Amino acid sequence: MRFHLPSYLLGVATGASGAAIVPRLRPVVMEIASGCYRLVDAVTFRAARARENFSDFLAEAHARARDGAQRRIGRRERAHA
Amino acid sequence: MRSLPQPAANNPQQQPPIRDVLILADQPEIAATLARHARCSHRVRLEIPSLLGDRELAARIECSANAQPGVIRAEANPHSARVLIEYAADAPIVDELEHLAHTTRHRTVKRAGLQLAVDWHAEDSDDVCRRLATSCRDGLSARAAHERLDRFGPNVIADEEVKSRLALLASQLQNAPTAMLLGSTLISLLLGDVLEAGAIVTVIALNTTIGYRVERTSESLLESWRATELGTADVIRDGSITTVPAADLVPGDLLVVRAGDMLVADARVVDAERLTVDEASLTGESEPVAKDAKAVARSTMLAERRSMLYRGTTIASGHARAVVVATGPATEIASVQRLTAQSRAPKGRLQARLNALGVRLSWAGLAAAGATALAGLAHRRNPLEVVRDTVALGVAAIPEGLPVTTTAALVRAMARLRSRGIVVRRLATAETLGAITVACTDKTGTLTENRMRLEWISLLDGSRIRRIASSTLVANHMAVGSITALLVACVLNSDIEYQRNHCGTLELDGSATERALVEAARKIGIDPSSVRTYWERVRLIERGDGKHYVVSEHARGVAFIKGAPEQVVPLCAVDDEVARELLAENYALAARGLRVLAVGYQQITRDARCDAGSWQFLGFVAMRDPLRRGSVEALHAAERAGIRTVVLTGDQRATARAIAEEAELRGDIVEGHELDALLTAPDARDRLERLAVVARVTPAQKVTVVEALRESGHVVAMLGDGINDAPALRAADVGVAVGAESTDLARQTADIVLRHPDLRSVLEAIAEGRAVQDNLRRSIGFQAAGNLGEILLAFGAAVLGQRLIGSLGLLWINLLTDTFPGLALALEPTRGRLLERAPLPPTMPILDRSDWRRIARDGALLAASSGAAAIAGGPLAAFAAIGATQFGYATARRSSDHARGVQFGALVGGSAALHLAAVASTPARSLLRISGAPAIGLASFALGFGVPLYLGWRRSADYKIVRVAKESS
Repeated sequence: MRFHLPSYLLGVATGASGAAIVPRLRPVVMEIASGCYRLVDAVTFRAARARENFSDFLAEAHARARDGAQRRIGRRERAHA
Repeated sequence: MRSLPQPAANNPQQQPPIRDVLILADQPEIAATLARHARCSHRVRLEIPSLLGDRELAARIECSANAQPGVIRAEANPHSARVLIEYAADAPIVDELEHLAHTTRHRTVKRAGLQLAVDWHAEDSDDVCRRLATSCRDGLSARAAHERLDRFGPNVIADEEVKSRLALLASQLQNAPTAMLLGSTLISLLLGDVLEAGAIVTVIALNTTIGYRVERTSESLLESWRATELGTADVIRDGSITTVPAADLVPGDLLVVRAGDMLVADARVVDAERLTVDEASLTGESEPVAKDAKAVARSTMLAERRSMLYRGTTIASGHARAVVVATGPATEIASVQRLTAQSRAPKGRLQARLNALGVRLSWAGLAAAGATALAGLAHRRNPLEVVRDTVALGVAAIPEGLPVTTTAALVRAMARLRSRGIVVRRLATAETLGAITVACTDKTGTLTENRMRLEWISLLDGSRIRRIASSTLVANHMAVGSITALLVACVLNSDIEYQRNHCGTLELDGSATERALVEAARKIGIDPSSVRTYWERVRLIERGDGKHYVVSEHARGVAFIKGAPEQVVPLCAVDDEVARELLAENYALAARGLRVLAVGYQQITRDARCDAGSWQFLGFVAMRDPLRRGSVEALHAAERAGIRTVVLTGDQRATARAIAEEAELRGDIVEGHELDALLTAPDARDRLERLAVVARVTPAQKVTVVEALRESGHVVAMLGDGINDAPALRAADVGVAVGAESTDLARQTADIVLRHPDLRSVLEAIAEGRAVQDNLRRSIGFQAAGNLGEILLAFGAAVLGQRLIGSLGLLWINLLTDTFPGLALALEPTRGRLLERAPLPPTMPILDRSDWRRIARDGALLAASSGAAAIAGGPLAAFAAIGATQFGYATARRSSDHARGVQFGALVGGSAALHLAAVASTPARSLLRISGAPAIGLASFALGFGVPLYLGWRRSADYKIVRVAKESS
């Protein structure tokens, strides 16, 4: 392979500038990564809350239905008695 | 569903006490609120913020809750931060939950559990100690404190107002020059000039990046100040008074507080002596509130809880011991965050004026670009090309680097000072420092070491005065009744806090004067604790404005007085001849620079009287407080720097005169009560200019002096360390708290805190402030002249129907010549010669008329040089020269006493090298659309760089500052 000076210099310059820039980019990358985590956490949080609210709703509805049935049975038994 | 009973929210006294959520019995520090409770389904959901994302805590809670009687199932969800509990119908938990429904739902509980559980103000102090597992006498053990620190975390409040990085980045785009650049980008894109748009975006990105970095540095500097702002606190641990970092305070710590202390945690008073607290920062109440250990009703409002001390408030008088009940985010002040909000940096006058200047220069540049466009159109040039060039010229004319340059210079000054132990609390202060013309300084603790030592005792032996050196006092002097009586009186009259540690050693906490007297009493065998127990103090009447003595009333019908001899001696039962001799003795001692106090006693049946002849004279005590090392040198250096020093002291005139002589201060000495007459006299201004010492000065009179000096046109710095200095520290242009040991109130009020109590560091700060002023003037002058040169060159060419430099070329020049050299000039460190001249007049504008004249002249010369190069060598020569002249001009504008450093060379040299590469490189020339022979370009570059130096602008630039300073002095 023939040595090509411009390509070599371009490679060195790219490497050097990359090494210089990467530490500077760290805060930005960190901000983006933490933003992603916040988003995932927020979605998970809301989903969990919604699921719990729904579960509470069903449990309460079930309990009311059960209470109503028990009251009816109780009334019926009292009437029989 | 059975609805929950409505809470009696308006009358908390009717509520049962809040108890811990029983399921969290092993985690008393966890806060929980009731989110939902459905009786019919026997389910309850509790919300626990700290549960979010903590799986381990979730497992512990489930384990703990499942073990409770009657609980069928418990499920803790770390994703929703809630706990579900299903319970049996007859479970004992039901009552607890009913109770919680009463209390927590309508009460925002954001505190730690330990604080959540109790209304501390309504509890007896012994109960408080019991609940917190601490001792009201010996405090916590060091080990317990360490464990609690792990458990509760440090006593710090996170600043919610800290900008995120993205917000910080976005704020860099919110200024007028950048907005204009963004507008130019849009126009370039509309014209389809992607390259030009990219070049303008590069300019914006460059400034934004630099601005972001500068702001981040500024934020981190301010943040690090906040961490140290809290300082230390005195606590009793293992029975000994210990000074600990305030961040290490934990619930259960026994705080020892006294007048001037800034409280760093919420605490329950267990023992108080004449305690009043300034709670203005918390409740808005302007008058200090009396506090004691008695419990108050549960329903008492925050502002009326006499048994509680709150973080952020200040002890106004007296002293106390109090048990810490809340730290960090659990404190009352945490919710309002007032303290941290106060310490956020306001924008300074200089910054505001520079921003306004930047806007004006931007509009002027755009107007000039418009005029150039009109000239081009008049010559029937292609309109699209004219618009392109106008946009580029407009971009070149906008001083977009100005806001960044200003902030960077101030932040750099702040960082330099911080590295020398000088904490600048507000960014704006860095600019004011350089303008200081008068420094008012407190004496005790600032000029002097505040380490009093008893030197002489003067007793009245019949009608004869006997003077005894303290060095001759030995234990057997107990036999000499008069000495014993005098020192016992000093001990009883003093406001010293005693604490005997486990080794049996008595630790003293109080003012330097009173510590010196108590130490002297102990030296001759007096046990302070015993005498204070025997003659228990009933009342202490503090000194007030105009009354320079303290009276203490004690059990067994005795009262003592201690204070200024000229006020106390006339109250004593001595005949006139003896009184004259006593006052002469006082002056003789004071003339040696000693602090003299007269002591007397009175037999009382009820209250002590302060009539003439009502006291029995016991003697004088004379103490010395040595000058701090370096104080005299600092005063001399200040004088050389054109800064006048005024000493404000509570000492009498003779002592003040002796101190002034020792410190080699020249000028008038007046007493505080003479100030009104001085300030209303016809020659008040002249007399104020001659003022050197104000003796017997009160805190209010210190403010009067500072304000009078400010009104007479001075920029005033106030140096102090005590509570009595705080009002003047606030009133001054720059308040300086001297030493990390200065009182919390002084540090909280001051703009600058010196870690080391060395006055020479104040001068370092002033020099740095002057360097900022000078550097900014140079940088602004450079940017304005450079931009003017570019505009004049383009305008001249347009008038002649020529197009010398295309839009990309102009943008390239703007990229290299605006921000980098401007920053290099603004950030340049200077050597010590700044303190060898007088300060610049406070009224001097950033750029005065002569500055504008010079900018116009230099801009014209820059344009003329480049124009000449254009005539000789064409567009490439003009392109090379207009950049090179600006690099040469930046070098010419450097301060003549700049310190060695690579920064200037890197910024200006790097920019020049890039410009040179663009001139020499064929691809760059074709990219920038500049044609011409490289040899001519390089020659123009060399000539352009040399011209400004040759024309000697450097000399005129520096001499102007020196001349103005001389004129002002």
